Amino acid sequence: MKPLEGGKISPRQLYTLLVLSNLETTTSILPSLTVAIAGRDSWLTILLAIIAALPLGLLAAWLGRRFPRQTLIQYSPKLLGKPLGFLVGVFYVWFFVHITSLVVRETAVGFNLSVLPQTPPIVLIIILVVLSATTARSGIEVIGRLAESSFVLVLFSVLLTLFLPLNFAHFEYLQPVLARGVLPLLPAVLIPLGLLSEFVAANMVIPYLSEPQKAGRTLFFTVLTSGTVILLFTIIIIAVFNQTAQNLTLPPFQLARIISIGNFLERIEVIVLAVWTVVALIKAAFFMWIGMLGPAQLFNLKGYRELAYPLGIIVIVLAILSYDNFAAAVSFYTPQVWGVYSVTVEIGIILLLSALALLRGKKGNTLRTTEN
Amino acid sequence: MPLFIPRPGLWLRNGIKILVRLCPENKIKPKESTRGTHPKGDDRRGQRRPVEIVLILAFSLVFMLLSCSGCWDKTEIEDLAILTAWGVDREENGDILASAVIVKPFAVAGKTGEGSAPPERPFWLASSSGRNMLEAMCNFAAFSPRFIFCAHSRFVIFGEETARQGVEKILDFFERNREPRLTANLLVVKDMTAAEFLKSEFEMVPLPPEGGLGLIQNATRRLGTVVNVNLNDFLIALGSEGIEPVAGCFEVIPKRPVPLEGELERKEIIQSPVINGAAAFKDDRLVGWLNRTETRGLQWIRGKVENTPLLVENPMAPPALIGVEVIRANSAVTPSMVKGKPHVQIKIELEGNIEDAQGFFDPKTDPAVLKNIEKRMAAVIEKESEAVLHRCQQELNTDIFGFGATFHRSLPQTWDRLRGNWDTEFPRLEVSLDIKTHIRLSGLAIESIKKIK
Repeated sequence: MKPLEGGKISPRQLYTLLVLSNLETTTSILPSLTVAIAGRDSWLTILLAIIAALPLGLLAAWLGRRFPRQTLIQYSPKLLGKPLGFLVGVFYVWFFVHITSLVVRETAVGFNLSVLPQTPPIVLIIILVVLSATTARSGIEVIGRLAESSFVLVLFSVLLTLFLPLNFAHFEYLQPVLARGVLPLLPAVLIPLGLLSEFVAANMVIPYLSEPQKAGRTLFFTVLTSGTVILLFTIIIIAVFNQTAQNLTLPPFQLARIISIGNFLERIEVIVLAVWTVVALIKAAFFMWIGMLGPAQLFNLKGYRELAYPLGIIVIVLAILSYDNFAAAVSFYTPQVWGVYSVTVEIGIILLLSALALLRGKKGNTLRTTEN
Repeated sequence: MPLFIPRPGLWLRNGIKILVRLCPENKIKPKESTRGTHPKGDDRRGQRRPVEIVLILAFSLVFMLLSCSGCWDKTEIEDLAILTAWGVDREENGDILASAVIVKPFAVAGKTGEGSAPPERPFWLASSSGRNMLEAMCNFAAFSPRFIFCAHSRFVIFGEETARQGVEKILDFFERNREPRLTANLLVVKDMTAAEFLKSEFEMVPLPPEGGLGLIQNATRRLGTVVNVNLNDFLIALGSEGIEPVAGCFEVIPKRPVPLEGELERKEIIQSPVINGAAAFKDDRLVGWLNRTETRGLQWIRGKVENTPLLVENPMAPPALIGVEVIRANSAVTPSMVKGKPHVQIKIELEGNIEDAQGFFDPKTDPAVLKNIEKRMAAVIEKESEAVLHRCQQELNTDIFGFGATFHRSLPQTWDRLRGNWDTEFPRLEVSLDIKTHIRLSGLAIESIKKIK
């Protein structure tokens, strides 16, 4: 029997995939969410989230390495028993399909707000979903290479939008630090933690790694890199916009709009749009691949590529249903709703499975098998 | 079997694959991957590749060409009226009168050759009214063949009356709309409406906004008696506690047309603006004008002076003046509570070069003379700072320095008590100045010129 997914990707490709996936939310909606809740102290919530996410990343990699030939979908029935394990797999897959639809919607709303006000969002959604479904059909190898080849450019553009507005930055706006104490910040930690914990997507990829022994290191540096970028974004947004940042829908875009160096290096916000396009495509493709491979393994299908376009239709519908404007998005992405939901699915599953793997002493077969 | 079956999905997928494969790094080890689903894919594709590349390239070229023109949000540059400055006034019934300086691109190019038509004014000044900014802007469409595009607006200018009535309701448009930028300069026109003001022209530059920008830059860099405030700064000051906004100030000094003799065609500009001082706001309302001295005092306190001429009396020849060009100035504001009362310590440090000395001046014979000049510089700065402090604390009662914000930053607990009654605390706030001046160089000459008798 042929394996479902025959591709292999390198740890570096996985790293770029995960970092770019995180950058998607970072450059669009995340800063406005944390700043709205935690104000000028929101950079501290990011710091706490990084600290919390680092060991969890190592844990997820450890779990994945314990079952080196299997994806999370395949080893969760082994640990939890068939029905429960199936349920966990369904939640896990649903979560990534849901994120894909949110990513697509975010990007469409972002484009509508910034440059294409007249274009119906459904057109943008369909274009993006068709592109990402086509990419996802090509397998993890293609997605990984796509991420690797665009990584440097995207990171460079992101850093450009981070450092060029520094002449407008007043770092004293970050003071007073913790004027209201740490407690009001804690719920806000869930949001960046939920984003950083998207590394659990790696538990679907670890069996396809060319050097699986590097999984832990990869996840560690993923969290570190994307955490640092989120941290820098938050700090610079507060330093440039102070409290008005709470009022902005797309802070990174506004940050790029404000760039003006010597009256000639300005109006380069289109860089942010380019970044959105690339990272949204990569993130949607990556998570759609999970959304295709997952059900194929859950239901023991013979192939997963055929699921691309049906899944695309589901994603389109979900994206249209998800929200209409940023006000609705902000009331959805609260710690109480989105924070609890994402952290439960991502970290809850990993913690549960790791604990069971440890307690029940189960291990995957390290020999080459036909399980995947 | 037909020779050509259109399979866009396949081409797109393979296109992406090939693009990825074009990366040098991926080329080195293409064999590492195991192509599970295409067991004999590699060989077949190896034979087909040239044809496929051509098809993919052709398809993507056509696709890109078609998609580049856009559909819904197609914008042709020929359909845009590029606006470079907004002037906003309120009419008597409360409506907004938005005036716009719109560039005429065909006139900017400037055909001044022989035999051509007399040069056209390169901008168009138009006004339109509405109940809010959006309606005013859209009302332009009724008489402008091209629609307003304000992503290039450099200025938001308020008339004095409008600024006194409050600008908050107007500013939301500039923050919310996707076209205007937060880097636009915000200024208030003294004794005039913005619509009237925009009729002014500048010497040396044909486009008024460029002229205005030139004024702001020069005055900030060389004169130091102006404030350079953009929309973002203004909105931050408006939205933060313990700080009130300031804005720049334009003024028009009417000129008497002077006939110039000569053959060349000359056009005298009758209305030309001067940039001077600053507009002090309380919340979103203009409450008073700061004159040049007070504005420089404000800039000393905020540490925003770049270059400025500072004149002191020559200690060696009293009525004569020594001109010091300040090249660097910094300030630090430290709030504290002294005996239960708020107190602010302002430390100003600056460096300057002597650029102009009248009368007898000879630092060689008396080395203390430079120290003496430094002391006198400090005295001038103290006088200017105290002028603006007095004006804002006693007359206007507006904390444009952001002293409240420094309390908020450094002593958040104290600020929790002060916040509610800052309006009554601020006029009683005790301010102490600590000014350190330093003369670095004394120019290319040592002594001043004197006639040898």
